Amino acid sequence: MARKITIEPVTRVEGHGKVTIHLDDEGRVSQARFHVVEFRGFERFVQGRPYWEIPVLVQRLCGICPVSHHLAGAKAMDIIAGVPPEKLTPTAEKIRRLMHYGQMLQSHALHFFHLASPDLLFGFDADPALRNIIGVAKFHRELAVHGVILRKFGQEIIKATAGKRIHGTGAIPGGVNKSLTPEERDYFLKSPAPYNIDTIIDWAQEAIEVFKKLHQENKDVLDNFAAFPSNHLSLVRKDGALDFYHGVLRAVDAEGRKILNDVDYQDYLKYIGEEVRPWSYMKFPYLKKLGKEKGWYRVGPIARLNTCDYIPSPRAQQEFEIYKAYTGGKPNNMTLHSHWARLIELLHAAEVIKDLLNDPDITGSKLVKKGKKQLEGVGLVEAPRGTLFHHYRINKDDQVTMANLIVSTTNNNEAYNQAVRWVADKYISEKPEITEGMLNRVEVAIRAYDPCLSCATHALGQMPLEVDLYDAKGQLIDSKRK
Amino acid sequence: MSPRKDRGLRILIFGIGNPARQDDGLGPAFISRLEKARIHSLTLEADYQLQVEDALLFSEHQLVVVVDAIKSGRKPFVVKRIEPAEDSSFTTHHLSPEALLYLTQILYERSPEVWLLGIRGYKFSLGEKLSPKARANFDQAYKCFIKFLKIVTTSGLASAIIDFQPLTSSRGKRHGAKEKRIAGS
Repeated sequence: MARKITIEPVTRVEGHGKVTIHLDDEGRVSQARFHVVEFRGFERFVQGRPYWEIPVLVQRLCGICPVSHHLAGAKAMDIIAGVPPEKLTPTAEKIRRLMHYGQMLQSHALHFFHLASPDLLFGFDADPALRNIIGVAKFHRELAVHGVILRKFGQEIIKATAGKRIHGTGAIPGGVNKSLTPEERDYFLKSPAPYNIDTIIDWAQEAIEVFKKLHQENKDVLDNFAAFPSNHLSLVRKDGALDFYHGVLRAVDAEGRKILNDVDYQDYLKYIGEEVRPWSYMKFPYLKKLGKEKGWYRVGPIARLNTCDYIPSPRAQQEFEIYKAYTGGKPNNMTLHSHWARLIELLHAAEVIKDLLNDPDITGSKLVKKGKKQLEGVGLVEAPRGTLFHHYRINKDDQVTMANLIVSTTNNNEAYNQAVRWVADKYISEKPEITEGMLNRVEVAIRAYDPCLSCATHALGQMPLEVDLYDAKGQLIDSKRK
Repeated sequence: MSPRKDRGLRILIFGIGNPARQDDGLGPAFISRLEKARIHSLTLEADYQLQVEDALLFSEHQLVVVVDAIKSGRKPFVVKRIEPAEDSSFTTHHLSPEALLYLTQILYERSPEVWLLGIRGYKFSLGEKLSPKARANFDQAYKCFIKFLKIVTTSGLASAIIDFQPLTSSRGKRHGAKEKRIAGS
């Protein structure tokens, strides 16, 4: 008898997701989809607001990566204020960068230590009561404490640069409204361990070693689970270096051939299309050059390390070389290697933070520039989960008339669907019984991309996951909720 | 970056919720009000939700009051003592106060007294203003909290807690332990 499985909501991802799996009469998977079941509506919410409010307003999109929205919104407003990125004062550019790399540090730490590590440490089939942060804290206390301190350090960087833990006001159109005081800088550089940047760098490096050890022990799973070829998209610095804050757009295919060759993201509409499908509120972006069918791409850590030529910090570059050597220099298409890539980025973020803290510009006093107002602007950053587009138009009264946001999770939409399909085919097809472990594998595949559905949809902290199993006649025959 | 102190008692007030979701912003609004009141004896924090690193913050205080919006119940606000619980709620980015207290105990071997001050909200869609009814509830909760704070800072922790409870339960059932706390706020 044909069946359909729905996983709803997806746990350890942000927002509200649902997975449906249809089985045919022989129990083979005939369709597997990752849905987003609620509509965001934030683009309408900001219409009519004065443009200078945008950097603060958009932080309310998401409690997980508000800094990314803050900075993408601010970068778009720089253009509207007539101050393109290269015209920002060195202090403004570096304070924003420090804020952003602090966000990257804390977000990547949360994902690896507290969201992903339970699966990697205890196994996909472990008791769910153990396979969570409490289990990590009980049985791998040092790892959990490192995660907490790395998170805390990143949060403190954000607080010092943005002014507040939430709804920071640090970035404003044309610059920033504060720099670091020497006392704030010294707190991060010279506090007793573990609250100084040198300890943070060491712990970030240790985390990579944890992953490598797990990789040695579980090579088959980590290399092959939900692995599939795809295109990859990200920002890179003009010289091809990894850069989370500013640069040009680059896309490569599964073999590493360039599809987008370092183009200006102000023109993103020339290169990126967004397809609407009737069964999901989340759009499906694609590279126009390749079309809807073949133009979908991945973003995030794995994509960034596939598009960039090198990492501009010594310890992370060393790890990058090891990582690249594993695939013979070709793009890495192994979904669970996104954890490896994320940890290399974590180390890079820590190294950049140290460099910025030691830069005299970070305590400078030239904060803002003014320019000739424009009516349209695009801001783009590499958020922890991937490329984040903010595009606005304003009228002559300075009110926002149009907003279009393509968030990281939306960019990865097709990748989630590919991953769900892979797991469904491998673990659920033709199986007489659906177990919790099987369903967890669906989540593991989605979670590798660290989706944040509160950005992509609406609500904070509400990440229900449902899996429903339907037969060929559309009858619900099994359902699991978390 | 270090907790503030008053008479040796370290107190953290932590408001959680999303100010862009109308009454979901009750917790952060509570913190804003306290900031304006310039009560220097408190550590004040506001965030969309509790996170793992807040275990460290919890561990640095003896008394923690988590202020959050609640979605149901007839009382304007409720107060509930938080007991550590080994729940697995942190399978998402959302972490319950109970699980966070449990983590605090495991990771830092500290066990602050944690209370939830839940203020009844009614509207949770996109919007920045509190609904009029939630605003009224907020004012009542704030007045009660200030009385509680005075007792804490003059009499010490245990007696204050004893006095805090009747203030919130003069009408109807005590403490609303069964009140539904909204997910993610």
